[in-house]
Amino acid sequence: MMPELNPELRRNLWLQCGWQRLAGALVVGVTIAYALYAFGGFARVLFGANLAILVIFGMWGPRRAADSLAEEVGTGTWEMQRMSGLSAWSMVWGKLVGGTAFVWYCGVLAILAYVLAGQQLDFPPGRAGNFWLGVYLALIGAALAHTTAFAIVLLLMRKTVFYRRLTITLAQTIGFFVYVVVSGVESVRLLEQVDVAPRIGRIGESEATWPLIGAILGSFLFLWAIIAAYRLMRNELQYRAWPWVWLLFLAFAIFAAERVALWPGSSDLVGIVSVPLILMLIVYAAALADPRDPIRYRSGLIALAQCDLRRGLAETPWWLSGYVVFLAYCAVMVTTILTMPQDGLPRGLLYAMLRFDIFLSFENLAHSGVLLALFVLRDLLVLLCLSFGPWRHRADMTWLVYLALVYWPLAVILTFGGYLDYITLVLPVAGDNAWLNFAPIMLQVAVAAFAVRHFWRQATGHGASGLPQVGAETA
Amino acid sequence: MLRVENLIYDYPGHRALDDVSFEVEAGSITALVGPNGAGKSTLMRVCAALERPFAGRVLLAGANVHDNPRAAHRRMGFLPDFYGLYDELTVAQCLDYRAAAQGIARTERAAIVAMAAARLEIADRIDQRAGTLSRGLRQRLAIAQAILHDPAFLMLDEPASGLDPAARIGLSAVLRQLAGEGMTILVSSHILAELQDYSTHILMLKAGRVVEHASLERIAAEGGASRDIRLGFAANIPDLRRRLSAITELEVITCGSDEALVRLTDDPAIRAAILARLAAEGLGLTCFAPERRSLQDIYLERMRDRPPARPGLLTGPENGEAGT
Repeated sequence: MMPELNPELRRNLWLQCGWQRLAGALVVGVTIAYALYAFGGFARVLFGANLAILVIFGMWGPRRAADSLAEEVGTGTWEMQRMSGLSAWSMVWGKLVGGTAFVWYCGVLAILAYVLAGQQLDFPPGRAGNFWLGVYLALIGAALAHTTAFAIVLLLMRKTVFYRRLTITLAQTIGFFVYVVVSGVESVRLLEQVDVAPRIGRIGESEATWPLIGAILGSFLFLWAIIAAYRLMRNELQYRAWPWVWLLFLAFAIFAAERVALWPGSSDLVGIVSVPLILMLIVYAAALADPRDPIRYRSGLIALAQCDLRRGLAETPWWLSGYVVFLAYCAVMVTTILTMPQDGLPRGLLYAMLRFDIFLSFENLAHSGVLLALFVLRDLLVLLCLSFGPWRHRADMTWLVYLALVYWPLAVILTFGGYLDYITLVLPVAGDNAWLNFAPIMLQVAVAAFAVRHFWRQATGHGASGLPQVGAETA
Repeated sequence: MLRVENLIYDYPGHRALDDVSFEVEAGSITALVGPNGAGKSTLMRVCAALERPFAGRVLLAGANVHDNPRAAHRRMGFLPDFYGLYDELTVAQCLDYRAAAQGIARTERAAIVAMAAARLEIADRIDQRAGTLSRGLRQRLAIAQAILHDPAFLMLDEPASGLDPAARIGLSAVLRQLAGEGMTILVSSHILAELQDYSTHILMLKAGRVVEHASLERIAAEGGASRDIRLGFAANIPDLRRRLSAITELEVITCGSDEALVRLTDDPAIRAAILARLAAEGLGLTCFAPERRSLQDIYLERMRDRPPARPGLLTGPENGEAGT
């Protein structure tokens, strides 16, 4: 007896892959390929197929992946799905594969045209491996882009209570960006000219080219994206989970950041510095992705106070555990810098990167690590303040504008205005004056913490413990 | 069947459910009523394990629904107020998909789909696309999807909204039929007259708290409904109020010249004596009938007068309030 097909996949196939659509796509594809061949030979077919792969996998695929969830929300079928008996995993792969089934069908047709045209162009045997690497990059890039878009919609659903509609533009845009980063867009030209197909450049002077790194990193990230989608779906189905997967991902990010940073000519210090920056970006992204619901936060705090570790940790926001890891790494970085020999400082690299003389001191660099931790803390507190206060519904965008204003124009004005001594006021770059380094940011952190406490009490109708009062003041 | 204990659900700056406790009897149809914003939909979603409460728990047949939501979903059905159907699929495909999603084996699905379609009287539309169905038929299809796996407990949020009178009557019949087959039903609606037709119990919410939870019979009796008697007379009697007020065991509530609403005691002997006296007075009594109060009257009275139940108490439908 045939094994039972995933019901969600089957439903999507009913909707997406009627024989008329499949036959129609084949006819249209063959017609376009023939037209391209007639006008420009196989080189033109290769170009057209490459463009089609980009559009189908990079633009259409993420949209369909995001729509496989957003359509359910929009048409009101999502709640019924949540009431079904399907497991989180069945829903993830059934929707992801089913929702993009027609995209994959069309994409594979385009890849077939690409491969056939490539063979007709007699690419040298030595380059065939790179050609197939290009095909693999297109496939893994598509899988990663689709899964990323899908996971982002799940994140958006998590941020919205009693959702009625979702916009998928953000998910589609990020999916497209991910696809382009992993797979590239210039495969045809590079196939004709050099040794790799969809290459977007070399890093440093090493032999390691981006396609290979992209293929490896893309494969790992695809696995993480699938795991993220699964965990988010479980969350959507109201299952609680320990945060160990998130911590594992942070460990992976640390490892990957260190490995990628270690290109020839760099020093250990570059790896050490790059990791906190990557962690900082992850913490910021996690803070943006979090619903930042003060009620859930308080629920978690109360659970921890009651020694209900499972519930407390399950409700600990990702950005908070990420910030703890970030802090720990900053501490390691500062300790490492302070214990390094003086000649370990890569003067030339830091000159090139930052162009600040004040960096040429071990103590300043260590202070900068501490400042970085404080700046991130301040930014997170500002985000919490926005999320608990009357700007709750516009908190994300307001925070992004705040970041852009705080870090960009002021830093530029101080730099080009000749006030580099005061750059520490707006950037986590330490100078020689320890008081000037730390006093302003400490003051900002204190003010932000006070504001968070104020809005927290308004949002929850109570302090950090106990149950809120009925009819608490609405912020 | 369903036991809700000390349920609290908060939105930022607002408490939607405030220590709600109650128990739904097996085999009953409980009408969940309350003004807009009372917390009805939130309560249903929390009971359906679609939202996680801040505190408290929901037990379905003794198991906490939030411990394993998927397991709970196999034992319950829920039709939200804003539901959708896969318009491009046929009725048969919709039901078959739903049955598969509920884990029903392929070999059993055809029979179960046919049975559900027959149960909801949509068997003759089995090959029609869902998008082409009328609103009443869509409602039936949605309910059929919710009960395909034969849940012991079914929740319906505003199922009659937007239906025409004929479809509403049909829906009432469906709910009575399901309850007759042993299903326990919790249904929220603003159309109290229809709830009165098929409900056995009523659960009133106000500002996130339980105001009343009792059987309809008990509410009708407790509210003095059976003690209010409408009197009718053959001709106008100018001093009717004075003559009625002269009867000490009787309290005049309203009085015209040829009819009056009076309140009597529950004692049958006293009632018989009053009836005999009214007949003997030669007033031309044509009507002596207990006044039936509608569910709407009772609801409005409760919402106006009765404070919400004290948090921390579990209300049972027959016992009024019982300490947990």
